[in-house]
Amino acid sequence: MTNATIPLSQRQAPPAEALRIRRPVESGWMSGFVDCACQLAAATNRRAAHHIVTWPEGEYELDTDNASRTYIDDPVRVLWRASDLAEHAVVVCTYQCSESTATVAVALYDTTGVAQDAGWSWRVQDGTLQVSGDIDPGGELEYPIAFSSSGSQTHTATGAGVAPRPLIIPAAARGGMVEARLTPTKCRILSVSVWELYTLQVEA
Amino acid sequence: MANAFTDLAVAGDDLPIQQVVIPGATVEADNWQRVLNTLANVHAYGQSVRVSQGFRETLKYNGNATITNSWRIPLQSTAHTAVRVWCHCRTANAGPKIRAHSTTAADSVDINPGLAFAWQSSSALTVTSGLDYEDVYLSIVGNAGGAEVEIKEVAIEVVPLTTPLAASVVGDFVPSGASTNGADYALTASRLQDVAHSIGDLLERPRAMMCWAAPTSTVATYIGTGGVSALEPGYRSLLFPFRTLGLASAKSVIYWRVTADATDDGEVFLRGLDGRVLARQDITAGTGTSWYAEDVYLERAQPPSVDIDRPTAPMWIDQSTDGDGASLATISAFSVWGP
Repeated sequence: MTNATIPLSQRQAPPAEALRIRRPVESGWMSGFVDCACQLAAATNRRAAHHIVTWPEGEYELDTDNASRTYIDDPVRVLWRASDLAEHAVVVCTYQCSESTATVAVALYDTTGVAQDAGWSWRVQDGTLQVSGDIDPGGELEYPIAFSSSGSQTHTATGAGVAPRPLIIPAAARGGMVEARLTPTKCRILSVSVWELYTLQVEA
Repeated sequence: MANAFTDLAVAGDDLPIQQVVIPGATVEADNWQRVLNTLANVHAYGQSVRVSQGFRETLKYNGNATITNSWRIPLQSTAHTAVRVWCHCRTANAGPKIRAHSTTAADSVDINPGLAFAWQSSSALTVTSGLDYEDVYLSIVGNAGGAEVEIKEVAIEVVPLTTPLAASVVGDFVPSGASTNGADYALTASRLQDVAHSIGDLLERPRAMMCWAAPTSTVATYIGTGGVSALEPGYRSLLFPFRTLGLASAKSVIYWRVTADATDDGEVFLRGLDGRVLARQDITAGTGTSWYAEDVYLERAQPPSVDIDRPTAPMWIDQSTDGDGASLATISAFSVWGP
Protein backbone atom coordinates (compact mmCIF):
# COMPACT_ATOMS: atom_id res chain seq x y z
CA MET A 1 0.00 0.00 0.00
CA THR A 2 1.27 3.43 -0.85
CA ASN A 3 0.33 6.60 0.93
CA ALA A 4 1.04 10.23 0.41
CA THR A 5 3.26 11.56 3.11
CA ILE A 6 2.92 15.14 4.18
CA PRO A 7 6.02 17.15 5.04
CA LEU A 8 5.18 19.69 7.71
CA SER A 9 8.09 21.97 6.92
CA GLN A 10 7.80 24.07 3.81
CA ARG A 11 9.55 22.91 0.65
CA GLN A 12 10.80 24.99 -2.22
CA ALA A 13 10.00 23.96 -5.76
CA PRO A 14 12.81 22.52 -7.90
CA PRO A 15 14.88 25.37 -9.37
CA ALA A 16 14.35 26.37 -12.97
CA GLU A 17 17.94 25.49 -13.90
CA ALA A 18 17.20 21.87 -13.07
CA LEU A 19 14.35 21.80 -15.56
CA ARG A 20 15.93 22.55 -18.93
CA ILE A 21 15.52 21.16 -22.42
CA ARG A 22 17.71 18.13 -23.10
CA ARG A 23 18.57 17.76 -19.43
CA PRO A 24 17.16 14.64 -17.80
CA VAL A 25 14.71 15.35 -15.01
CA GLU A 26 16.00 13.58 -11.99
CA SER A 27 13.67 11.61 -9.80
CA GLY A 28 14.73 13.77 -6.88
CA TRP A 29 13.18 16.80 -8.55
CA MET A 30 10.05 14.87 -9.40
CA SER A 31 9.83 13.78 -5.81
CA GLY A 32 10.25 17.43 -4.88
CA PHE A 33 7.16 18.33 -6.91
CA VAL A 34 5.20 15.66 -5.08
CA ASP A 35 6.43 16.86 -1.68
CA CYS A 36 5.53 20.46 -2.49
CA ALA A 37 2.05 19.58 -3.68
CA CYS A 38 1.34 17.47 -0.59
CA GLN A 39 2.79 20.05 1.76
CA LEU A 40 0.80 22.90 0.24
CA ALA A 41 -2.46 20.99 0.26
CA ALA A 42 -2.32 19.29 3.62
CA ALA A 43 0.00 21.38 5.77
CA THR A 44 0.41 25.04 4.77
CA ASN A 45 -3.15 25.39 3.52
CA ARG A 46 -4.80 23.08 5.95
CA ARG A 47 -7.76 25.06 7.10
CA ALA A 48 -8.19 26.87 10.34
CA ALA A 49 -10.47 29.41 11.97
CA HIS A 50 -9.42 31.86 14.67
CA HIS A 51 -12.51 33.14 16.40
CA ILE A 52 -12.66 36.07 18.83
CA VAL A 53 -15.77 36.77 20.91
CA THR A 54 -16.31 40.46 21.58
CA TRP A 55 -18.07 41.25 24.87
CA PRO A 56 -19.63 44.47 26.10
CA GLU A 57 -17.60 46.47 28.49
CA GLY A 58 -18.22 45.93 32.17
CA GLU A 59 -17.61 43.38 34.82
CA TYR A 60 -18.77 39.82 34.56
CA GLU A 61 -19.70 37.69 37.50
CA LEU A 62 -19.63 34.12 36.38
CA ASP A 63 -21.71 32.59 39.13
CA THR A 64 -25.36 31.74 38.72
CA ASP A 65 -26.76 34.54 40.86
CA ASN A 66 -25.67 37.53 38.88
CA ALA A 67 -27.91 39.11 36.29
CA SER A 68 -24.95 40.21 34.22
CA ARG A 69 -24.27 36.64 33.24
CA THR A 70 -26.74 36.91 30.38
CA TYR A 71 -24.94 35.65 27.31
CA ILE A 72 -22.17 34.05 29.37
CA ASP A 73 -23.55 30.61 28.59
CA ASP A 74 -24.46 31.29 24.98
CA PRO A 75 -22.91 28.77 22.61
CA VAL A 76 -20.01 30.03 20.54
CA ARG A 77 -20.22 28.93 16.93
CA VAL A 78 -17.11 28.75 14.78
CA LEU A 79 -17.87 28.27 11.10
CA TRP A 80 -15.47 27.16 8.39
CA ARG A 81 -15.49 25.29 5.10
CA ALA A 82 -14.00 21.89 5.79
CA SER A 83 -11.55 20.73 3.19
CA ASP A 84 -11.90 17.39 1.48
CA LEU A 85 -8.70 16.37 3.23
CA ALA A 86 -10.00 17.10 6.70
CA GLU A 87 -10.54 14.13 8.99
CA HIS A 88 -10.31 15.79 12.39
CA ALA A 89 -10.19 19.27 13.85
CA VAL A 90 -8.23 20.45 16.87
CA VAL A 91 -10.10 22.88 19.14
CA VAL A 92 -8.31 25.35 21.40
CA CYS A 93 -10.17 27.77 23.64
CA THR A 94 -9.39 30.68 25.95
CA TYR A 95 -11.92 31.39 28.68
CA GLN A 96 -12.66 32.68 32.17
CA CYS A 97 -14.24 30.33 34.64
CA SER A 98 -15.04 30.54 38.34
CA GLU A 99 -16.97 27.51 39.57
CA SER A 100 -16.27 23.86 40.15
CA THR A 101 -19.32 22.83 38.13
CA ALA A 102 -18.30 24.74 35.01
CA THR A 103 -18.18 22.87 31.71
CA VAL A 104 -17.72 23.56 28.01
CA ALA A 105 -19.32 21.04 25.65
CA VAL A 106 -17.73 20.83 22.21
CA ALA A 107 -19.45 19.32 19.18
CA LEU A 108 -19.59 19.59 15.40
CA TYR A 109 -22.69 20.62 13.42
CA ASP A 110 -23.58 21.57 9.91
CA THR A 111 -25.14 24.95 9.16
CA THR A 112 -28.67 23.59 9.56
CA GLY A 113 -27.99 22.38 13.08
CA VAL A 114 -27.57 18.66 12.36
CA ALA A 115 -24.95 17.12 14.64
CA GLN A 116 -21.92 15.66 12.84
CA ASP A 117 -19.91 14.70 15.92
CA ALA A 118 -21.46 14.61 19.38
CA GLY A 119 -18.11 15.60 20.79
CA TRP A 120 -17.01 15.83 24.42
CA SER A 121 -16.69 18.29 27.28
CA TRP A 122 -14.03 20.16 29.14
CA ARG A 123 -14.99 19.99 32.81
CA VAL A 124 -13.54 21.43 35.98
CA GLN A 125 -14.20 18.17 37.76
CA ASP A 126 -11.97 16.35 35.28
CA GLY A 127 -9.23 18.93 35.41
CA THR A 128 -9.62 19.82 31.75
CA LEU A 129 -11.15 23.20 32.60
CA GLN A 130 -9.43 25.53 35.02
CA VAL A 131 -11.15 27.52 37.73
CA SER A 132 -9.60 30.93 37.70
CA GLY A 133 -11.77 33.08 39.97
CA ASP A 134 -11.29 34.21 43.54
CA ILE A 135 -7.54 34.20 43.35
CA ASP A 136 -6.81 37.88 43.50
CA PRO A 137 -4.95 38.61 46.73
CA GLY A 138 -6.59 42.03 46.83
CA GLY A 139 -9.89 40.36 47.58
CA GLU A 140 -11.74 41.32 44.42
CA LEU A 141 -12.93 38.75 41.98
CA GLU A 142 -10.75 38.46 38.97
CA TYR A 143 -10.87 36.00 36.18
CA PRO A 144 -7.50 35.38 34.58
CA ILE A 145 -7.66 33.90 31.15
CA ALA A 146 -7.21 30.14 31.03
CA PHE A 147 -6.47 27.91 28.09
CA SER A 148 -7.72 24.44 27.14
CA SER A 149 -7.00 22.25 24.14
CA SER A 150 -8.51 19.14 22.63
CA GLY A 151 -5.02 17.84 21.94
CA SER A 152 -4.20 16.15 18.66
CA GLN A 153 -4.51 12.49 19.61
CA THR A 154 -7.27 11.39 17.30
CA HIS A 155 -10.03 8.90 18.07
CA THR A 156 -12.55 7.19 15.86
CA ALA A 157 -15.62 7.14 18.13
CA THR A 158 -18.17 9.88 17.50
CA GLY A 159 -20.38 9.18 20.52
CA ALA A 160 -20.57 11.86 23.17
CA GLY A 161 -17.92 11.57 25.83
CA VAL A 162 -15.98 13.65 28.27
CA ALA A 163 -12.38 13.01 27.22
CA PRO A 164 -11.11 15.85 25.05
CA ARG A 165 -10.14 14.80 21.55
CA PRO A 166 -10.09 16.41 18.11
CA LEU A 167 -13.51 16.65 16.53
CA ILE A 168 -14.22 14.10 13.84
CA ILE A 169 -15.28 15.50 10.47
CA PRO A 170 -17.38 12.85 8.72
CA ALA A 171 -16.64 12.27 5.05
CA ALA A 172 -20.08 13.55 4.07
CA ALA A 173 -19.42 16.87 5.75
CA ARG A 174 -16.09 17.55 4.08
CA GLY A 175 -16.15 20.29 1.49
CA GLY A 176 -19.11 21.99 3.14
CA MET A 177 -19.50 24.55 5.89
CA VAL A 178 -19.28 23.05 9.36
CA GLU A 179 -19.69 24.59 12.79
CA ALA A 180 -17.66 23.81 15.87
CA ARG A 181 -20.08 24.65 18.69
CA LEU A 182 -18.79 25.33 22.17
CA THR A 183 -21.58 25.39 24.75
CA PRO A 184 -20.35 26.77 28.08
CA THR A 185 -21.86 26.54 31.53
CA LYS A 186 -20.64 29.19 33.98
CA CYS A 187 -17.77 29.95 31.70
CA ARG A 188 -17.02 32.95 29.51
CA ILE A 189 -15.39 32.02 26.22
CA LEU A 190 -13.06 34.64 24.79
CA SER A 191 -11.54 32.99 21.76
CA VAL A 192 -11.57 29.70 19.91
CA SER A 193 -9.12 28.35 17.39
CA VAL A 194 -9.92 25.39 15.20
CA TRP A 195 -7.60 23.74 12.73
CA GLU A 196 -7.86 20.64 10.67
CA LEU A 197 -5.81 17.50 11.05
CA TYR A 198 -4.95 15.05 8.38
CA THR A 199 -3.67 11.74 9.66
CA LEU A 200 -1.40 10.71 6.82
CA GLN A 201 1.02 13.47 7.53
CA VAL A 202 4.47 12.69 8.86
CA GLU A 203 7.31 14.80 10.06
CA ALA A 204 9.93 15.12 7.35
CA MET B 1 -6.03 13.60 -19.26
CA ALA B 2 -6.91 17.22 -19.01
CA ASN B 3 -7.49 18.94 -15.75
CA ALA B 4 -11.25 19.13 -15.80
CA PHE B 5 -11.50 21.59 -12.93
CA THR B 6 -14.84 20.12 -12.05
CA ASP B 7 -13.09 17.36 -10.20
CA LEU B 8 -10.79 19.33 -8.01
CA ALA B 9 -11.88 17.93 -4.69
CA VAL B 10 -8.62 16.54 -3.40
CA ALA B 11 -9.09 13.93 -0.71
CA GLY B 12 -6.42 11.80 0.85
CA ASP B 13 -6.51 9.21 -1.91
CA ASP B 14 -5.99 11.90 -4.54
CA LEU B 15 -2.68 13.23 -3.30
CA PRO B 16 0.46 12.43 -5.27
CA ILE B 17 2.54 9.60 -3.86
CA GLN B 18 6.25 9.77 -3.19
CA GLN B 19 6.89 6.04 -3.31
CA VAL B 20 6.11 5.71 -7.02
CA VAL B 21 8.75 8.27 -7.98
CA ILE B 22 11.58 5.84 -8.60
CA PRO B 23 15.03 6.63 -10.05
CA GLY B 24 15.29 5.37 -13.60
CA ALA B 25 11.59 4.71 -13.93
CA THR B 26 9.11 6.50 -16.15
CA VAL B 27 7.10 9.26 -14.54
CA GLU B 28 3.61 7.93 -14.07
CA ALA B 29 1.04 10.13 -15.78
CA ASP B 30 -1.49 9.48 -13.03
CA ASN B 31 0.87 10.62 -10.32
CA TRP B 32 1.84 13.72 -12.28
CA GLN B 33 -1.85 14.51 -12.78
CA ARG B 34 -2.26 14.28 -9.03
CA VAL B 35 0.42 16.94 -8.64
CA LEU B 36 -1.39 19.26 -11.06
CA ASN B 37 -4.80 18.64 -9.53
CA THR B 38 -3.51 19.22 -6.03
CA LEU B 39 -1.89 22.52 -6.96
CA ALA B 40 -5.00 23.66 -8.81
CA ASN B 41 -7.08 22.70 -5.79
CA VAL B 42 -4.85 24.64 -3.43
CA HIS B 43 -5.17 27.72 -5.59
CA ALA B 44 -8.89 27.48 -6.25
CA TYR B 45 -10.19 26.16 -2.94
CA GLY B 46 -7.32 25.89 -0.63
CA GLN B 47 -7.58 28.41 2.13
CA SER B 48 -9.32 29.07 5.36
CA VAL B 49 -12.24 31.23 6.33
CA ARG B 50 -10.98 34.81 6.47
CA VAL B 51 -13.09 36.26 9.26
CA SER B 52 -14.44 34.41 12.27
CA GLN B 53 -15.76 36.59 15.04
CA GLY B 54 -18.46 36.47 17.70
CA PHE B 55 -20.43 39.26 19.35
CA ARG B 56 -22.34 39.28 22.62
CA GLU B 57 -24.78 42.21 22.83
CA THR B 58 -22.46 44.30 20.74
CA LEU B 59 -24.18 43.87 17.37
CA LYS B 60 -27.77 44.32 18.46
CA TYR B 61 -29.77 47.11 16.83
CA ASN B 62 -33.26 48.51 16.81
CA GLY B 63 -32.81 50.71 13.79
CA ASN B 64 -30.72 51.23 10.69
CA ALA B 65 -27.01 51.41 11.37
CA THR B 66 -23.64 51.27 9.69
CA ILE B 67 -20.92 49.35 11.42
CA THR B 68 -18.08 51.67 10.68
CA ASN B 69 -15.18 49.33 11.16
CA SER B 70 -14.17 47.07 8.32
CA TRP B 71 -12.41 43.75 8.18
CA ARG B 72 -9.29 43.82 6.00
CA ILE B 73 -9.54 40.50 4.22
CA PRO B 74 -6.55 39.00 2.38
CA LEU B 75 -7.41 37.73 -1.08
CA GLN B 76 -6.10 34.46 -2.30
CA SER B 77 -5.09 35.74 -5.73
CA THR B 78 -6.22 38.15 -8.40
CA ALA B 79 -8.38 35.40 -9.85
CA HIS B 80 -10.58 35.37 -6.77
CA THR B 81 -13.14 38.10 -7.15
CA ALA B 82 -15.74 37.47 -4.48
CA VAL B 83 -16.28 36.70 -0.83
CA ARG B 84 -19.30 35.28 0.95
CA VAL B 85 -20.52 36.54 4.32
CA TRP B 86 -22.19 34.25 6.85
CA CYS B 87 -24.06 35.58 9.89
CA HIS B 88 -25.62 33.72 12.78
CA CYS B 89 -28.42 36.19 13.33
CA ARG B 90 -32.09 36.87 13.86
CA THR B 91 -34.65 39.66 13.72
CA ALA B 92 -37.67 40.26 15.94
CA ASN B 93 -39.85 41.15 12.95
CA ALA B 94 -39.48 40.40 9.26
CA GLY B 95 -38.10 43.15 7.07
CA PRO B 96 -34.65 44.29 8.20
CA LYS B 97 -31.63 43.08 6.28
CA ILE B 98 -27.96 42.85 7.05
CA ARG B 99 -26.00 44.35 4.19
CA ALA B 100 -22.37 43.47 3.49
CA HIS B 101 -20.29 46.04 1.63
CA SER B 102 -16.93 45.84 -0.14
CA THR B 103 -15.20 49.19 0.16
CA THR B 104 -12.95 49.23 -2.90
CA ALA B 105 -15.18 47.31 -5.27
CA ALA B 106 -18.21 49.25 -4.00
CA ASP B 107 -20.49 46.23 -4.13
CA SER B 108 -23.09 45.18 -1.59
CA VAL B 109 -25.17 42.07 -0.93
CA ASP B 110 -27.92 41.37 1.58
CA ILE B 111 -28.44 38.74 4.22
CA ASN B 112 -31.99 38.05 5.36
CA PRO B 113 -32.20 37.18 9.04
CA GLY B 114 -35.02 34.90 10.15
CA LEU B 115 -37.10 35.18 13.31
CA ALA B 116 -34.94 32.62 15.10
CA PHE B 117 -31.17 32.49 15.35
CA ALA B 118 -29.68 30.60 12.43
CA TRP B 119 -26.81 30.76 9.99
CA GLN B 120 -27.66 32.88 6.94
CA SER B 121 -25.33 33.53 4.02
CA SER B 122 -25.03 36.23 1.42
CA SER B 123 -24.63 35.79 -2.28
CA ALA B 124 -21.17 36.52 -3.69
CA LEU B 125 -19.87 39.94 -2.72
CA THR B 126 -17.57 41.31 -5.41
CA VAL B 127 -14.12 42.36 -4.25
CA THR B 128 -11.50 44.21 -6.22
CA SER B 129 -9.23 41.91 -8.11
CA GLY B 130 -5.69 43.17 -8.24
CA LEU B 131 -5.37 44.18 -4.61
CA ASP B 132 -3.93 42.04 -1.87
CA TYR B 133 -7.01 42.65 0.24
CA GLU B 134 -10.51 44.08 0.41
CA ASP B 135 -12.16 45.97 3.26
CA VAL B 136 -15.60 44.60 4.10
CA TYR B 137 -18.12 46.07 6.52
CA LEU B 138 -21.76 45.54 7.51
CA SER B 139 -24.82 47.71 7.88
CA ILE B 140 -28.42 47.21 8.99
CA VAL B 141 -30.98 48.42 6.43
CA GLY B 142 -34.75 48.39 6.03
CA ASN B 143 -35.25 48.73 9.74
CA ALA B 144 -37.13 51.99 10.04
CA GLY B 145 -39.70 50.13 12.08
CA GLY B 146 -37.17 49.49 14.78
CA ALA B 147 -37.17 45.72 14.85
CA GLU B 148 -34.49 44.20 17.01
CA VAL B 149 -31.74 42.74 14.83
CA GLU B 150 -28.93 40.80 16.41
CA ILE B 151 -25.80 39.21 14.99
CA LYS B 152 -23.96 36.74 17.18
CA GLU B 153 -21.34 35.34 14.82
CA VAL B 154 -19.81 36.39 11.51
CA ALA B 155 -17.72 34.35 9.11
CA ILE B 156 -16.37 35.51 5.76
CA GLU B 157 -14.87 33.15 3.21
CA VAL B 158 -13.31 33.70 -0.19
CA VAL B 159 -15.59 32.18 -2.83
CA PRO B 160 -13.76 29.20 -4.38
CA LEU B 161 -13.12 29.15 -8.12
CA THR B 162 -15.21 26.74 -10.13
CA THR B 163 -14.26 27.50 -13.72
CA PRO B 164 -10.96 27.05 -15.52
CA LEU B 165 -8.64 30.02 -15.58
CA ALA B 166 -7.24 31.70 -18.62
CA ALA B 167 -3.48 31.56 -18.85
CA SER B 168 -1.43 34.06 -16.88
CA VAL B 169 -4.27 35.73 -15.05
CA VAL B 170 -2.74 35.07 -11.66
CA GLY B 171 0.86 36.13 -11.81
CA ASP B 172 3.31 33.28 -11.49
CA PHE B 173 0.64 30.70 -10.90
CA VAL B 174 0.15 28.91 -14.22
CA PRO B 175 -3.32 27.43 -14.49
CA SER B 176 -3.30 23.83 -15.58
CA GLY B 177 -6.92 23.75 -16.61
CA ALA B 178 -6.24 23.83 -20.32
CA SER B 179 -3.17 21.66 -20.34
CA THR B 180 -3.04 18.11 -21.53
CA ASN B 181 -1.20 15.58 -19.48
CA GLY B 182 -1.10 11.88 -19.89
CA ALA B 183 0.70 8.81 -21.12
CA ASP B 184 2.58 9.34 -24.39
CA TYR B 185 2.52 13.12 -24.04
CA ALA B 186 5.92 14.68 -23.65
CA LEU B 187 6.53 16.26 -20.26
CA THR B 188 8.25 19.39 -21.50
CA ALA B 189 10.83 21.44 -19.67
CA SER B 190 8.66 24.53 -19.95
CA ARG B 191 5.75 22.64 -18.41
CA LEU B 192 7.88 21.60 -15.49
CA GLN B 193 9.06 25.17 -15.04
CA ASP B 194 5.45 26.36 -15.05
CA VAL B 195 4.68 23.97 -12.24
CA ALA B 196 7.75 25.08 -10.31
CA HIS B 197 6.62 28.70 -10.67
CA SER B 198 3.14 27.79 -9.56
CA ILE B 199 4.49 26.18 -6.42
CA GLY B 200 6.63 29.22 -5.69
CA ASP B 201 3.61 31.44 -6.17
CA LEU B 202 1.37 29.36 -3.94
CA LEU B 203 3.98 29.42 -1.19
CA GLU B 204 3.60 33.20 -1.05
CA ARG B 205 -0.19 33.29 -0.99
CA PRO B 206 -1.64 34.79 2.18
CA ARG B 207 -2.72 32.19 4.68
CA ALA B 208 -5.25 34.06 6.76
CA MET B 209 -4.53 34.02 10.46
CA MET B 210 -6.86 36.52 12.02
CA CYS B 211 -9.07 39.36 10.85
CA TRP B 212 -10.75 41.27 13.66
CA ALA B 213 -12.80 44.46 13.78
CA ALA B 214 -14.35 46.26 16.72
CA PRO B 215 -18.12 46.58 16.40
CA THR B 216 -18.32 50.35 16.46
CA SER B 217 -21.29 51.74 14.62
CA THR B 218 -23.13 54.91 13.73
CA VAL B 219 -25.75 54.29 16.39
CA ALA B 220 -25.67 52.92 19.89
CA THR B 221 -26.42 49.27 20.33
CA TYR B 222 -29.86 48.39 21.51
CA ILE B 223 -28.85 46.97 24.85
CA GLY B 224 -27.98 49.60 27.37
CA THR B 225 -24.71 48.03 28.36
CA GLY B 226 -23.05 49.85 25.51
CA GLY B 227 -21.07 48.23 22.76
CA VAL B 228 -17.42 47.65 23.32
CA SER B 229 -15.60 49.74 20.82
CA ALA B 230 -11.93 49.67 20.22
CA LEU B 231 -9.12 48.06 22.14
CA GLU B 232 -7.98 50.51 24.72
CA PRO B 233 -4.46 50.48 26.10
CA GLY B 234 -3.82 47.45 28.25
CA TYR B 235 -6.57 45.33 26.70
CA ARG B 236 -5.00 41.93 26.27
CA SER B 237 -7.63 39.31 25.73
CA LEU B 238 -7.19 38.87 22.00
CA LEU B 239 -5.01 35.84 22.43
CA PHE B 240 -4.82 33.69 19.36
CA PRO B 241 -2.53 30.88 18.22
CA PHE B 242 -0.66 30.83 14.97
CA ARG B 243 0.28 27.57 13.40
CA THR B 244 3.95 27.92 12.68
CA LEU B 245 4.30 24.77 10.58
CA GLY B 246 8.03 24.79 10.97
CA LEU B 247 8.42 27.99 9.00
CA ALA B 248 11.65 29.05 10.58
CA SER B 249 11.87 32.39 8.85
CA ALA B 250 8.41 33.06 7.51
CA LYS B 251 7.46 36.70 7.37
CA SER B 252 3.84 37.59 7.86
CA VAL B 253 2.18 40.98 7.96
CA ILE B 254 -0.14 42.72 10.37
CA TYR B 255 -2.45 45.52 9.34
CA TRP B 256 -3.81 47.60 12.19
CA ARG B 257 -6.39 50.30 12.10
CA VAL B 258 -5.53 52.74 14.87
CA THR B 259 -7.04 55.98 16.07
CA ALA B 260 -4.32 58.23 17.44
CA ASP B 261 -4.59 60.19 20.64
CA ALA B 262 -5.18 63.87 19.98
CA THR B 263 -2.15 65.14 21.89
CA ASP B 264 0.08 62.23 22.96
CA ASP B 265 2.16 59.89 20.88
CA GLY B 266 1.65 56.19 21.47
CA GLU B 267 2.48 52.79 20.07
CA VAL B 268 0.81 49.46 19.46
CA PHE B 269 2.28 45.96 19.67
CA LEU B 270 1.76 42.41 18.60
CA ARG B 271 3.37 40.23 21.25
CA GLY B 272 4.17 36.61 21.82
CA LEU B 273 2.85 34.92 24.91
CA ASP B 274 6.07 35.66 26.77
CA GLY B 275 5.73 39.35 26.05
CA ARG B 276 8.25 39.40 23.25
CA VAL B 277 7.44 42.06 20.66
CA LEU B 278 6.68 40.58 17.26
CA ALA B 279 5.60 43.83 15.64
CA ARG B 280 5.22 47.41 16.79
CA GLN B 281 3.97 50.62 15.31
CA ASP B 282 4.46 54.20 16.42
CA ILE B 283 1.27 56.23 16.49
CA THR B 284 1.77 59.94 16.13
CA ALA B 285 -0.57 62.19 18.08
CA GLY B 286 -3.26 63.95 16.13
CA THR B 287 -3.08 61.79 13.01
CA GLY B 288 -6.65 60.52 13.23
CA THR B 289 -7.60 56.99 12.16
CA SER B 290 -5.38 55.11 9.73
CA TRP B 291 -4.39 51.64 8.63
CA TYR B 292 -0.75 50.75 9.30
CA ALA B 293 1.19 47.70 8.11
CA GLU B 294 4.12 45.99 9.79
CA ASP B 295 6.06 42.79 9.15
CA VAL B 296 5.69 39.96 11.66
CA TYR B 297 8.46 37.40 12.07
CA LEU B 298 7.09 34.19 13.46
CA GLU B 299 10.44 32.83 14.55
CA ARG B 300 10.49 35.47 17.27
CA ALA B 301 7.38 34.01 18.82
CA GLN B 302 9.19 31.21 20.66
CA PRO B 303 6.02 29.19 20.75
CA PRO B 304 5.23 27.46 24.00
CA SER B 305 3.58 24.46 22.45
CA VAL B 306 -0.06 23.92 23.30
CA ASP B 307 -0.10 20.86 21.16
CA ILE B 308 3.03 18.85 20.70
CA ASP B 309 2.33 17.66 17.20
CA ARG B 310 1.09 20.97 15.87
CA PRO B 311 3.29 23.76 17.13
CA THR B 312 1.52 27.01 17.63
CA ALA B 313 2.56 30.46 18.69
CA PRO B 314 0.00 32.16 20.90
CA MET B 315 0.03 35.90 20.39
CA TRP B 316 -1.85 38.85 21.69
CA ILE B 317 -2.40 42.43 20.76
CA ASP B 318 -1.20 45.06 23.17
CA GLN B 319 -1.16 48.80 23.25
CA SER B 320 1.02 51.08 25.17
CA THR B 321 1.65 54.73 25.58
CA ASP B 322 4.70 56.87 25.17
CA GLY B 323 5.69 56.13 28.73
CA ASP B 324 3.64 58.62 30.69
CA GLY B 325 0.39 56.77 30.35
CA ALA B 326 -1.25 59.64 28.56
CA SER B 327 -1.89 58.28 25.07
CA LEU B 328 -5.30 56.81 24.38
CA ALA B 329 -4.48 55.45 20.96
CA THR B 330 -6.88 52.61 20.24
CA ILE B 331 -6.94 49.73 17.79
CA SER B 332 -10.26 49.35 16.03
CA ALA B 333 -9.33 46.55 13.63
CA PHE B 334 -6.43 44.34 12.72
CA SER B 335 -5.57 41.56 10.32
CA VAL B 336 -2.63 39.19 10.43
CA TRP B 337 -1.71 36.94 7.58
CA GLY B 338 1.25 35.42 5.86
CA PRO B 339 2.56 32.50 3.88
